[in-house]
Amino acid sequence: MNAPDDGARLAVVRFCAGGHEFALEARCVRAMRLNAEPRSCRIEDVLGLPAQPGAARRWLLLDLGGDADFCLDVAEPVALAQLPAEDVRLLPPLVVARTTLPALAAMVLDDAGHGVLLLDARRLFSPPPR
Amino acid sequence: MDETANRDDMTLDQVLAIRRGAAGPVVNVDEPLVKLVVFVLNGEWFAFHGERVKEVLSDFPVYFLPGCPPGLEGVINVRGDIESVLSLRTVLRYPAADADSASRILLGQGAEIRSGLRVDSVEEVMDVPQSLIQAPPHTIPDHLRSLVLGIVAFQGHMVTILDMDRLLADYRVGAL
Repeated sequence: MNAPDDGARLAVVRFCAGGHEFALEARCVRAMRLNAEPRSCRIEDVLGLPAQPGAARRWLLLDLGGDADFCLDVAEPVALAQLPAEDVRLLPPLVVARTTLPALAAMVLDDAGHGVLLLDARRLFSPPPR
Repeated sequence: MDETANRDDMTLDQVLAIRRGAAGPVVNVDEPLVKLVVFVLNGEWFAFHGERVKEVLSDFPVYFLPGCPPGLEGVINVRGDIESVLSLRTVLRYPAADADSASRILLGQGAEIRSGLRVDSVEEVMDVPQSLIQAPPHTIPDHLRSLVLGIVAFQGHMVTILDMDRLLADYRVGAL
């Protein structure tokens, strides 16, 4: 089947970067920190996007499958959300082929043109941070 | 017996055309017709083969997608499917245009890729006899040469017929 079951939902953590709304699967985020963490990386640097000056920051403790914790420095607003699985769409082939955003995996786009870009946390860092 | 009765191989269309005394040049209706979607870019007239254009869209909000190269405007939601939108002006190296309400997005398909293509306006969807399509002239700019299937005269304009398959395939691999 190509469509998810009715009512299925995807738990995500939403945040902002470069003026756009992004999300990571919630199962890849262990916690959110309010203060800067020593081993962290700004999401804008990872994605190659400009940082929004003045935006409040939060630090997402990621579960990348290794032993060490790693934090992703993201811009507010940060929120846990449940996306209807049926709203999650594959990216068009030209976007897949030409995007420079690492780990861009899917998106949600409503009729009004508001979008949330879903990132695959496992592909954010290559090689994984140590 | 009238003249139609003496012809063994006529079609109903031909018979009716004779009965109606259709003016103008006689068109051999058995000749293959090519459906073209004619559009304008920067004042120049172009066309795609009709079977490569699934739909003509207007007034779709385009979501700007970061991290995309020039020419890839963003994406649109077409009844639940996310489609990319190419600016054909940018892809074909014409200057960018101001926002224009006449602009349309052709939902095209070729080389197993579907994408929207923004054009300045859509002028016509027409059937033309295959024989009226001429080979591309030598004056076509180099960057367009591989994309042009032929040209055809229409309403006093020379219409350049573009290869949707080649255009989408070349854009996917970064050749455009």
